[in-house]
Amino acid sequence: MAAETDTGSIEGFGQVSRTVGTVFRYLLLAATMFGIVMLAVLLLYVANDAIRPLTADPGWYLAFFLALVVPTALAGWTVRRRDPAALTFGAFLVGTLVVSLMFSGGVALLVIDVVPPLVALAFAIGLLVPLAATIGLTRYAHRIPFTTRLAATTAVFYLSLFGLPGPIGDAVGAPRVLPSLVAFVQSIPVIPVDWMMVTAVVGGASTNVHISASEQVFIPNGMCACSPSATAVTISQIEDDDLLFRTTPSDALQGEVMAQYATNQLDAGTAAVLHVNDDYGSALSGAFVSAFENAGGSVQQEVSYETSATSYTSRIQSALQDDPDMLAVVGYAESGIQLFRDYYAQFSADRDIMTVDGLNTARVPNEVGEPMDNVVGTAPLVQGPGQDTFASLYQDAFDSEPGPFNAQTFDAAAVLMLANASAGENDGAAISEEMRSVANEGEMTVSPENLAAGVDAAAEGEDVVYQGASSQVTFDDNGDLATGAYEIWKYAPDTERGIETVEEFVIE
Amino acid sequence: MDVTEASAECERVLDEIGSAVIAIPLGVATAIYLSEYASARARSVLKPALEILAGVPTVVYGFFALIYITPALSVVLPSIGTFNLLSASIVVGIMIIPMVASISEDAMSAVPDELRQAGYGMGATKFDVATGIVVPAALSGIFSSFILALSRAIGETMAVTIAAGSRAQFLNPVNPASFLEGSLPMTAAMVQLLLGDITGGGLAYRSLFAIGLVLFVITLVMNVISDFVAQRYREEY
Repeated sequence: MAAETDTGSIEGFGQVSRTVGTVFRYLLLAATMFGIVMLAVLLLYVANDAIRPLTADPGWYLAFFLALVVPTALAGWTVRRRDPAALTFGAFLVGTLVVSLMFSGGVALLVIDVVPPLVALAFAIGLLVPLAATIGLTRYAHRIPFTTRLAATTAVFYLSLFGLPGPIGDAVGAPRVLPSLVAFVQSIPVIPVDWMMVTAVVGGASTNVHISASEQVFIPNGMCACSPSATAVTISQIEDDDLLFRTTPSDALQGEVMAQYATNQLDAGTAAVLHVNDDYGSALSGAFVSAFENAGGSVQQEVSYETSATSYTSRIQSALQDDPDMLAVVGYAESGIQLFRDYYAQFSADRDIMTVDGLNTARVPNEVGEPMDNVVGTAPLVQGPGQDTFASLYQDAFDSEPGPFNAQTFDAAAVLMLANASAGENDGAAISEEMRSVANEGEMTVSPENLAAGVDAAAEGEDVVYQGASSQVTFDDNGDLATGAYEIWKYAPDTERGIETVEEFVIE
Repeated sequence: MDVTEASAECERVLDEIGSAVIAIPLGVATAIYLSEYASARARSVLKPALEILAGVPTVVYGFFALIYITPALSVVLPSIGTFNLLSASIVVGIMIIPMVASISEDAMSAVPDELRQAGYGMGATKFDVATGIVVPAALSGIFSSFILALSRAIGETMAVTIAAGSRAQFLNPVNPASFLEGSLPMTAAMVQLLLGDITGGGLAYRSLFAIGLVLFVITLVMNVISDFVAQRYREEY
């Protein structure tokens, strides 16, 4: 202890500063709070970005404060003063209510949107039944040994969820002996497919969609479907239990029109066909070929092409190899533009070409870069008794001219409604039985003008007949239109529409 | 791929240094406060609040770094990149504070009260007791917490990838300006290698194993150090 002096006092002894300790203490506190505060600030930023509370009107805050916060706080404070236990209970009750509402909302979403209701119901039954059986078994716990009960419980659950022999049997390829309860409930036919019972459909729109929807949904479920725009010939040939109708003429009629015009107006004796390689193209081309040959002409070449090819020269070459009087082009605008470019690059601009509604678009001559004077086309004509009424109603509702197939869509919906009212029940087969009677003949004429009154009348059993916006709407045995109105059009780049009508045809 | 790997390695070192600089002092300070100064009531609030920090998903930390911390830093450091190591280090540092704090606090609480009382009996202040008696006595536990937390930081992928980006480049670990650049974490480098078509035996394929091996060696070295320190400073009571 050399530091000790003679006075007996040690330097610094007895002098304790609290400053260091205090500073240290608050430094430590700051360090502790650093992470917590940082996270809180970040969360505040997130909340601000998500809700943007500062963008709301101050009046809104005042209203919110006065209408919700103040009364709640007052009520809570009063209750707390009188009976704290009541406040706890009330808060618990409200909290439970809110949480359970959110939870059940989530479950409902899951059941409605994610899992089909029928599947959810099947699994609920499939779990509840064995659960009930298990609970029932425990009542006899004192009489039945544990292993037996365990085996029985397992067996009940297995049977209910998997059936016999279940996944183990499936793995080795054993045949199904007994379906599971879940599968059984799902297969009961009386339970509707979904929440809604769909009995009638306006659609499908395009041929390919209409065919697959018909085969997979409409026909198996007995729904009556009326398509406004599926034109393919093949739809007439579907085994449809008389459920499929359409308010647009079949391409068979268009092929007929093409053949008539080619023979009579163009005086063509020989023809070649270039058609796009899908249902629409091959069916329409087939209809044209048979009609043209019936009229005494001969078709030299029938050549198919794919859409989105970069060059069509070789296809055109093989179609034109026998120098036919006319060429029929069955396709769409997108591939048609390239096809006509290739045509005009190497082949005569004097040859008669007939094309179809797929190319009935004013921009084609522009993009091809030729006047295309030698081209005429066919297209279904909107020409029903109610056409003008429909157009003005449409103008009022949407502030624009009706587009392609709008009138047909209106007619499809109208006929289905009339047939439904007339049938008096929501059943696809019953509706389809009434389709022809409301469309083909009757005493009271219904048109777009008096559709609402017509539906009432049909519901009261009156004999109505619908005269549509796009056509007379008369169905034949296939559910196709019995008559079709067509126009022969040609490109007219100088006019406002870009296309002019050469001639109109009504064909039966 | 060697470039990827080497730069990933140096990034990893940088990131580790950065997060250690933040997490170790803050974590130890937090532990001292909680074990020595905080009242029972304050502790009952602060400890769970700190543990929330560890519970936040790492992807959320990465998002925070990218959306909020980097723009805030760019006010102070205008040359900072959108993806940078600094914000990645900060979030990873915050993320591992609770690990350091909680384990160190356990170690400090385990120091017998007799030691403290002896200190007070000698006339020591609370500051003297905390820094001169409790911390040295709990040193082995505190070091273990460092190692554990840093191991966690090494394995961290998501937060660092989001905050520091995925551009492989060489950075000088000694130059502080490196922190303003983006980089590619080792774990993310592995994921990126796996996303391509990997030919068995090719350079990319071998790089995968090389990166994995380096990660393993780092973790092993850290554990060995931790074990050594724990043995060396262990105090038996």
